[in-house]
Amino acid sequence: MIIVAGAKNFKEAEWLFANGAGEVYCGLAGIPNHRRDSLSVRGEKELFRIIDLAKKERKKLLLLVNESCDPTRYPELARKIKRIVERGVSGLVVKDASIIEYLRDHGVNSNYILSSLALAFNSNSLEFFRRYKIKRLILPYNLTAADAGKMIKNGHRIETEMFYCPSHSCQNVDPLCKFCDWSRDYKPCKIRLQSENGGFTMPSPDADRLADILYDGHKAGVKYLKIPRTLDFKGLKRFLGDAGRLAGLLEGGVSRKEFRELYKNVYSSEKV
Amino acid sequence: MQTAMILNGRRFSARHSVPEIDVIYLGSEFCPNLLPGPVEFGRALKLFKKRVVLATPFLTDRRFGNIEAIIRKYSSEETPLEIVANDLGLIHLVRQKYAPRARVALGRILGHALRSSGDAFLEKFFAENRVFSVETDSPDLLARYERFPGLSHTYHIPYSYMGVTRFCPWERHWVEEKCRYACLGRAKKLTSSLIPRPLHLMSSGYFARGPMPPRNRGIDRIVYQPSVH
Repeated sequence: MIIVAGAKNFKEAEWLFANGAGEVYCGLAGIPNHRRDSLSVRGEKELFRIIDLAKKERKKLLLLVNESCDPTRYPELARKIKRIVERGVSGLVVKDASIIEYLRDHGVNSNYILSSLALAFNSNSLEFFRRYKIKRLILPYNLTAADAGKMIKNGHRIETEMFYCPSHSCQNVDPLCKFCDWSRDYKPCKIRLQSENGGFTMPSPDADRLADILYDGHKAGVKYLKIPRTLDFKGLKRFLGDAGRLAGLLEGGVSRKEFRELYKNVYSSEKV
Repeated sequence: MQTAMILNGRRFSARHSVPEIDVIYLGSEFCPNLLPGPVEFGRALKLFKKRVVLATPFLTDRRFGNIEAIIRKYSSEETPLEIVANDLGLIHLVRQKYAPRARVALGRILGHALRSSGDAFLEKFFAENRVFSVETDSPDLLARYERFPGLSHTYHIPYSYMGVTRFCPWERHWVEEKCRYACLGRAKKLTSSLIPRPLHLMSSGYFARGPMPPRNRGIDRIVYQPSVH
């Protein structure tokens, strides 16, 4: 599997390219992306340095445009993204059909990659998005590979990518959840709540189920493995190391049982 | 104004029928395991003797068989089936294969996801997919879609949805694993001094009590959601 890793600055991108990432993706402050600004590259100048580095290394840099924004911003967004595409970014990760359509209609020609946040949970959804000429689909991280089989083996040469998510596992479906807007300090999905029958915590899949997503995804033919951005560079290095090791084991034909055992010991961090 | 009530598509009986209700929503916008099969859908039509709307959540591929069977068996051009859709794939499929036998109401989840799309995009989307109605459960969502002429508006009470999961909070496995319907007849009220309002867990959705429908806003139908399924 080709590892696609998130970087928030030049230093991280340089390290990632030198240590096994086939592609690096970045958000850019000012361009809507799904995570907080502290996880994005701060300005175009630094992004252009990363683009130049990717070209030099003959690797790819992807730009995140995976959040909605007020449509009155679309013209400004299209101008900015067009400039970045012309500089040499290799693809755009986009969530909203509305934004893809606007960018395409306004001459932003790039490789469009459908974000995991686009709510494509079935092959009919993939058919819906085909009109936008997407090159790749990132599978929603709470969709098991067993249920994504028809999307992975689609007959349209749309490549698939999946998350490496040992720790980044929101209990709820991410773009449909209002808890992030509701309370910045105390998200109900992260704290222990009370019910009539005692305490209640919104449950997450266990390690075996998370391991199975990756194991089955590899078997089904998912080509890219995505490493989330993190606030912690040390953590990012460990993420990449573990993901690379696990991908290597999968290529070597590791058994499910052994893979599940190994998965229990991978590094996980809440700092994503 | 019409009144409607939502019932799960698996276990329902005549005692769920309320004379004042005009329309039954059968299924769920939040959990695929609560979708009816064609047998249950036919039984509901006979039992309630009212219009039955098929309510659907976002879907994996394995869920389309039953939905297509219901469309084929219980719709015609003269009496199209009304489907509340929260999945772009289902909307695409209906447009490609089943229009005009089925007509689409934009569900609350998808309506929430698409609310930030541009007006030009949404106008085209509604027209191409023959979306005739939008389901809402908050004044904000209602306001977002009121500006589109020709759409009718439905308002759900008394809960507004807050979140939806694919990892069943009742049985603690993926919703696509074997369902034992542990949620049926149950709900959990969840509280904490750290959150502004109590949450209500019902099927695979988390809800908060929402505001009552705003007056004089052209709402065509009120849908009542019981506190347990």
